Amino acid sequence: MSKRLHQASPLAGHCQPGFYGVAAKGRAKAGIRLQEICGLDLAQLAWFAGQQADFEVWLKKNLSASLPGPGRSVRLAKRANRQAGGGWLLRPEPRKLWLLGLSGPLLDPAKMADYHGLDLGHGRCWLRLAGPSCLDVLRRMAALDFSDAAFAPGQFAATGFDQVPVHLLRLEEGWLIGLPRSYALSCTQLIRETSLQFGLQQMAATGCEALA
Amino acid sequence: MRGIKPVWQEKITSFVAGPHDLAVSVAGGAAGCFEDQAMLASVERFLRKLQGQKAGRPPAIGFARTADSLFEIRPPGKAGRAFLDPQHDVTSKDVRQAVQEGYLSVEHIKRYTTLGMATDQGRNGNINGLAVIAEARGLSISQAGVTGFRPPVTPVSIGALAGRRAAAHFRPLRRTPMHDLHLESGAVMTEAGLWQRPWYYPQAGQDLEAASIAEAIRTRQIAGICDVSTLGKIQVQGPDAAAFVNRLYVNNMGRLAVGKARYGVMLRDDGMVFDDGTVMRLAEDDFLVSTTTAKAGPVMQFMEELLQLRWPEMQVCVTSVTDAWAAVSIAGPAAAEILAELAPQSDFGPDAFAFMDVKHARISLPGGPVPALIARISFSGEKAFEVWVGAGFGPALWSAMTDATEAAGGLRYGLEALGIMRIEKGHVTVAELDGRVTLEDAGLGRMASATKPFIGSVLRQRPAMMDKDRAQLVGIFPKNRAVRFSAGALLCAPDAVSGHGKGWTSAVAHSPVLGHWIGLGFIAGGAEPWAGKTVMIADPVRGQQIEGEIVSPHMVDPDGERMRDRIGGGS
Repeated sequence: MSKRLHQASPLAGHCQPGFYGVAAKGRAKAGIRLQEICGLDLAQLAWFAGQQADFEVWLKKNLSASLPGPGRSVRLAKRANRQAGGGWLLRPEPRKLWLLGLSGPLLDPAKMADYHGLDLGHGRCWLRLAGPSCLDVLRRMAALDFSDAAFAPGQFAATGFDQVPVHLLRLEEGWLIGLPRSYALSCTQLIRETSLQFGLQQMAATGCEALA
Repeated sequence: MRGIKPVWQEKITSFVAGPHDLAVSVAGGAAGCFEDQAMLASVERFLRKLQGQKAGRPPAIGFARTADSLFEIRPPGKAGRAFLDPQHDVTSKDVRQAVQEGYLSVEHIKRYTTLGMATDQGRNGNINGLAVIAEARGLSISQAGVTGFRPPVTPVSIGALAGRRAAAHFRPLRRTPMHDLHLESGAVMTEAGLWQRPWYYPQAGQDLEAASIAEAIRTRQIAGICDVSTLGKIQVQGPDAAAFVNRLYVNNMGRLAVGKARYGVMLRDDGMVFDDGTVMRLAEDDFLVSTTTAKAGPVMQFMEELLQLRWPEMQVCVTSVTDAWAAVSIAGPAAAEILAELAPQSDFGPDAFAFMDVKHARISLPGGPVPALIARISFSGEKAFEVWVGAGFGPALWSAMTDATEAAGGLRYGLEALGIMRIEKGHVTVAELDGRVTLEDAGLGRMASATKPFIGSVLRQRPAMMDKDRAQLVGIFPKNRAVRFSAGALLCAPDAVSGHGKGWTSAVAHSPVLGHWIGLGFIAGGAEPWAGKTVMIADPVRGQQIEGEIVSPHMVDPDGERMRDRIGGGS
């Protein structure tokens, strides 16, 4: 889908930058930093039983990358003339692969036709959650083990916040949270309210280059 | 204690904390030291441990003087019941019978008899129950084993019981991409499941009825636009995609041409109607299926179940894309002309863009053109198109379509006006397809293919399901056209206004086209046996009873001339 027209954010006008909760008026440092990441491209590829070996070869050829295991990601580095801004390969389901691209699609859509490429970019809203209290917030949102041993940087999970299906990618610093667009504002408000007790710094929305 | 399983100590007839590797020392009663001296001794051991001295676990001493264990009272000569679990009424006889039937594990006996499964989690009766199990098996309690304990026997924080402060987040809200624009234009919103949808757009001084009737009139006269982003959307891809949708829907989807759409109905396994919607074929191996707003989740789950459990050999991939698209329906005689302004490269003429065509297009929006998928489909009964763009472009599309439609004399319309128009046409929604309805009941029996099997195709043919006397979809007029009536009323024979009557009204609206209140509903045998007869529309809850007549459910433009553009020389 075209990127010449700016995609409207579902959070536009609802998350004013500033300090909130116990971090307001300088009473305490912000335990949480929350920021919307705009402009991430998301495409899905799918394959069927018996095709995985072929798909892995295809992936190697087209993206010079190996297939991440379920619940894992592969970070694609920025390279000259290829994969403009890098990105991630994510495995949300056993036979589905997500191509999360920074600054543009990771693959030519025509090439993705072999594996039922689907543009899902408009359907997700991405947040970066960081700060010393981010685990405290995540533990209140989902019943997952967020410890380093169980959820190391680069790991990826599908879970639920308030019964809403969300995706989590552990970054080197903080977490990337993928929210379904229709629920994005409701979920973000919930995260913000949960963060108030730890001090919230709502940061202005930024482009995906912030993740590069 | 968190993570430490209790161990039964026969000597003191009590549980104590079992072995563990936590940084926790157990002293006092938790270690089985009940008397003062023993308790103090156990605390001394704990303090020595704190000072780094070697100190083992204190021995469980229990009470110095103990009564004999008494787990069950059996008065001589009395055959009454002995209750072990007062919450679930589990008796000692139940437990012994379970052992007799071969249940050996305490966990199995627990689940078989429900001993200790009430809210007290066995706090009141589990020890006695374990003792009876042990006795019945000829073992000690520790040999027979103990069951796991769940909260509140194991500690749980008050915060966890209370849950987080929910307030507005008792249920998450779903918003369409155009939500904020609806609010800005003064729309009154209503809930549709978790979704928020525009109900009506009141002009000065208008209430729901006035606004929705005005919206329906203007849409039929000129044009109206409606946010239909909430419809479920599922992408069905793969070499077997056509075969898959063909098995799912009652009508033939396998032969649907690329670039065409078709209305379809799917049944449950038991033959009752499950959901309806439109199927678009985008490529040989690529279908875009739309579902009702309410059934988007259940349909997606059902598709996954079919592919994972029943037909795992099928090469089909299904993905929910509801959130990826913004969708706007534009309906009315001027719909094509308005769209032509927004997509000048596309031909919306009746021959170039026929009923049920699906085409890729580019919509010119301020800021740049965007790709769109446009389908000529109609729920309102008017000539109509659905325009789908990426959800992020939804607000820009809505603004542009609002401007163009208003410039042509049209307007935005909400769910209530859509309801009016669909009732006039006899188009069904979840109000009619409520899970108790067959294809024939809904007047859709002719859609069912006789040349292929589909989900529900066998069980729908059970005699009771094909009974001609089943309640079938009809239209309802009041005899006195000036009178209004309500959805949820009973339809009765004039001499038998009682019980459940002969049918019911499912949806009611004031029809601007006909100039009076009309309704959809179901009545035994359908419209034919009631032709020319009077029915009583009885509404005991609201204290109303009026005379009515049964008509065809297709109350306005029954042949679909308007939506097929056959009025005024169209094809």
